Amino acid sequence: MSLEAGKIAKIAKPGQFLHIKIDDMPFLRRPFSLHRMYNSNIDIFYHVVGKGTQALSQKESGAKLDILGPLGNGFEIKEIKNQVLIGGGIGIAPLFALAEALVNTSTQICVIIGAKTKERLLCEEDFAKLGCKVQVATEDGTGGKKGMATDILKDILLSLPPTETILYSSGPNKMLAEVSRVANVASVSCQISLEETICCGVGACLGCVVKTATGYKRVCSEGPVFKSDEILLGS
Amino acid sequence: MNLSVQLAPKNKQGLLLTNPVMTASGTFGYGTEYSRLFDIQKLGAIVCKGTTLNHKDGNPQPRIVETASGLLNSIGLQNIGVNALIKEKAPLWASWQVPVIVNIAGETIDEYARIANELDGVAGIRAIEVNISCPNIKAGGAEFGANPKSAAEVTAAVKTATSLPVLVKLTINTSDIAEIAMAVAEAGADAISLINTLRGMAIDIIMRRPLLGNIIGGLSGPAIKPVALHMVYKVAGAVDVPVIGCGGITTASDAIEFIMAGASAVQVGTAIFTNPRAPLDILEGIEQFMKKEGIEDIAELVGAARY
Ligand SMILES: Cc1cc2nc3c(=O)[nH]c(=O)nc-3n(C[C@H](O)[C@H](O)[C@H](O)COP(=O)(O)OP(=O)(O)OC[C@H]3O[C@@H](n4cnc5c(N)ncnc54)[C@H](O)[C@@H]3O)c2cc1C
Ligand SMILES: Cc1cc2nc3c(=O)[nH]c(=O)nc-3n(C[C@H](O)[C@H](O)[C@H](O)COP(=O)(O)O)c2cc1C
Repeated sequence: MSLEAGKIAKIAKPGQFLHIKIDDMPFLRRPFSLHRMYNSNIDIFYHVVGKGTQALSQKESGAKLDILGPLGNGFEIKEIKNQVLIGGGIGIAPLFALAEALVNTSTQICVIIGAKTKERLLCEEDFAKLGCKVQVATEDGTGGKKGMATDILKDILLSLPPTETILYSSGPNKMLAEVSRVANVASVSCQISLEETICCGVGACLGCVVKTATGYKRVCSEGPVFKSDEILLGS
Repeated sequence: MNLSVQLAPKNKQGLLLTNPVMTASGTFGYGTEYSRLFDIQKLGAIVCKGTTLNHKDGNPQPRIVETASGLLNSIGLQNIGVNALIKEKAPLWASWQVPVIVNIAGETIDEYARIANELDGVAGIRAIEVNISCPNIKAGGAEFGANPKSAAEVTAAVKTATSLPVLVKLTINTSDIAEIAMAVAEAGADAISLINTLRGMAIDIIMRRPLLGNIIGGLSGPAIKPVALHMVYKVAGAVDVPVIGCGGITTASDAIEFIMAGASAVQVGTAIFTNPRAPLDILEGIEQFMKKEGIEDIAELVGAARY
């Protein structure tokens, strides 16, 4: 879905999100990552999973939306030689905006995309068109390598010097936990984008917290992007 | 047109607001979170997140569940603690035009008194709101608000510990709220605010477990408005200190209903999550209503629908 949002587009950074009021029901806003930015437009890329996303998908072209944003802290871009992006499912959404920002730097971008089946692989061609090196994995083997995206990650990291490599990831928590573990073993710096139910979106209500080494932190305002070694996933 | 309200007429320092629209504790952080979204200085007052003696981690995730026209939360009073609040937040508040009221919670009466004592005389803090109604913590909280004796004891202890105006925030998770309100007023409360959230829960039927990490939480939002309105009506009829209405207020007409039920001021909470500007929209709506109805002073509306 493409949104015309000039004021937001001017200042938005990859990894940040928009908090969108969809209708009177459901009641709360819904958060979506910046997927692609051009001129005064911002694209979001989403799956219909419930009432909010269902209602959003039914909006007609030209409809006006109440958008709060850009919110949160985005990815911290570092011009390190090897940039590795790994995304699972719809988690790929923010990584595309990141890749767009990275192509302007003199770095090598490698993208690993994971999904359950070939049909669910997202954005493979879009990343390739940007000039990224793309590798894919599906759990059922219908596309790319059979298995997990993190299997490919392990192989790739073997051939890259840790100090000249940086990792960015977004996807289901289970995958992020494995990415964090692999990054830690390989001593590679890694940033992950987390999801929690977002309520106020600005850090006021303390609803969307995640456990970190130094206590609970707010996903909406201290994240959604965190350094992977900071976060205690699944605990 | 006069929109100002005095919420602590019996207190030496008083608590004069330029208008009756405040933010509800826990929904507006420390004020700073919203300052880049709109001019928060136009608000009647800001009530900050519930503050305890020591910092508190709060409850496990998930902490938020959306319900029909409402919200269940089980934050569990995550906060930075009173000393950090005095050091890190109050200095900024001191330069603000809008008065900041600190909401406090303790596990013992002594703890309430110690927090109130720490806050006494701190620049930037204009009043204390005593939360004896939080459903989300194990010890203390709503238990103090559940009977008149303990509610009065907490109130008296806080009054002794500070010269600041003291608001007491009641729970309706009790048998007779009017009785509690009278006890609290008798014990010296300068004003009474109500209501806090209602205890509730939700279940994930696939996983067969409660959706909130803390199992139970507090219900807020439009779903509780009629209940809150009734409670305000009841309490305003029982005490002669100012009453501050809260619970599901989303529009100016909601706010006017509370004022007509007897509230001198209102607090806006959950509505802010969907519309951060809600408190200002409500204020503007009240002004328009007064203009249309030819009302000069907001005081004319307070209790206007009481029978
Ligand atoms: C910072 C951030 C960025 C996001 N970016 C995107 C994006 O770019 N594209 C995209 O498709 N989705 C994204 N999400 C997830 C998206 O916000 C949820 O899918 C959406 O809010 C669901 O709303 P709903 O009303 O359709 O579903 P509901 O009816 O509320 O719920 C349906 C199902 O979705 C799950 N769900 C609800 N909210 C969330 C959530 N916040 N995170 C994970 N699962 C949820 C529920 O547990 C439930 O099982 C993002 C979430 C966050 C926190
Ligand atoms: C996320 C959240 C956190 C809250 N935290 C506090 C708190 O710390 N102290 C308190 O007295 N009330 C707290 N409340 C209650 C509100 O201040 C208010 O009394 C209640 O939500 C009803 O008003 P509303 O429907 O307008 O939100 C909280 C409410 C919510 C939704």
